[in-house]
Amino acid sequence: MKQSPSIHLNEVVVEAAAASLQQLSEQARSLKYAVVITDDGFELAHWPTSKSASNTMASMVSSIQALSEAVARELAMGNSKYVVLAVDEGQMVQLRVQGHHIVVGAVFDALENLGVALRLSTMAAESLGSAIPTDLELVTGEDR
Amino acid sequence: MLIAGPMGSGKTTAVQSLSEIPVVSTEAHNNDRAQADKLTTTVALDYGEITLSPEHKLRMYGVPGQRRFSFMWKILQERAEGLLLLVHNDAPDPVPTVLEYLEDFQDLIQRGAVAIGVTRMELLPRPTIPMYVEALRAAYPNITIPVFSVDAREAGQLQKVLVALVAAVEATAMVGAANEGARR
Repeated sequence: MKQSPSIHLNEVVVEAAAASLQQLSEQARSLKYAVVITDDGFELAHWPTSKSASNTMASMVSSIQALSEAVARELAMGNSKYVVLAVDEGQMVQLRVQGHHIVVGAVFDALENLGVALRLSTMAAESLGSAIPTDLELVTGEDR
Repeated sequence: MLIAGPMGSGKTTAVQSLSEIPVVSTEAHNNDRAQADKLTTTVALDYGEITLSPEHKLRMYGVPGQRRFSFMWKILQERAEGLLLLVHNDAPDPVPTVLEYLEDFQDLIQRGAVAIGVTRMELLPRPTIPMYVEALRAAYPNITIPVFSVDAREAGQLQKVLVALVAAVEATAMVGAANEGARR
């Protein structure tokens, strides 16, 4: 497999990430903000592109993902499928792009149905996963 | 207790060396190999425990080293009482780095205690421990901040630092209690 220590600098992956977020925004008018990040908190893409990148959002999504996966691991509950943070102003959904060191995080407004938010976020992650070249380094069993 | 410091200073190794329980870790694939040439990096926390006595347990939280995760430093220091700041001596400008990191833990330094652990001195002996002490005295004339040379892989060395840190935390608490009593 091709080694990709800096996946956030890979133009193909960055373009695929931006495209998946654009697609998500077209499917969900309730989308307020979304990011695609590496496991260690580097941003690949964000939406809306008119806004400047939020490094804090990228880092927080990274930490939350790692904590959720650590909790699942410590409780021997298998793999973490997604994380939902429900607050007064809306909900944040985040999930791993299966098989990759990449996470999608999406913030929806309070009017959005949680099931819809989960389904659309999952579709975005799956779409991105299928667009990433298969010869890029994948998450291995040793990693996770 | 928090264990903080720049990426590659040995924080995760220190928690693993000291902890009596299997460490809860949040390691992620490291995409910044220029900063530190290692496969993974901590992105939320490392958690470990040490039993100090039948009634007392020390909970250790290793925090991420990169500044982009400084929100975790802020969250975790709210309930911490001591800070072990590790810095690797072969890092660029390690003494200014220590002072820079301490800036982010002012609240904890003022109400608790801090110790500095300098790692990898066997690879680069300078700056020396007295150089760190001098810089810390200049920056914090009213606070005693001990500086130790440590190997993050050696539990025995780290335990000596912890003993000093725990004693300093208790001393700070006693002074605080005495001042509170005097005010009443």
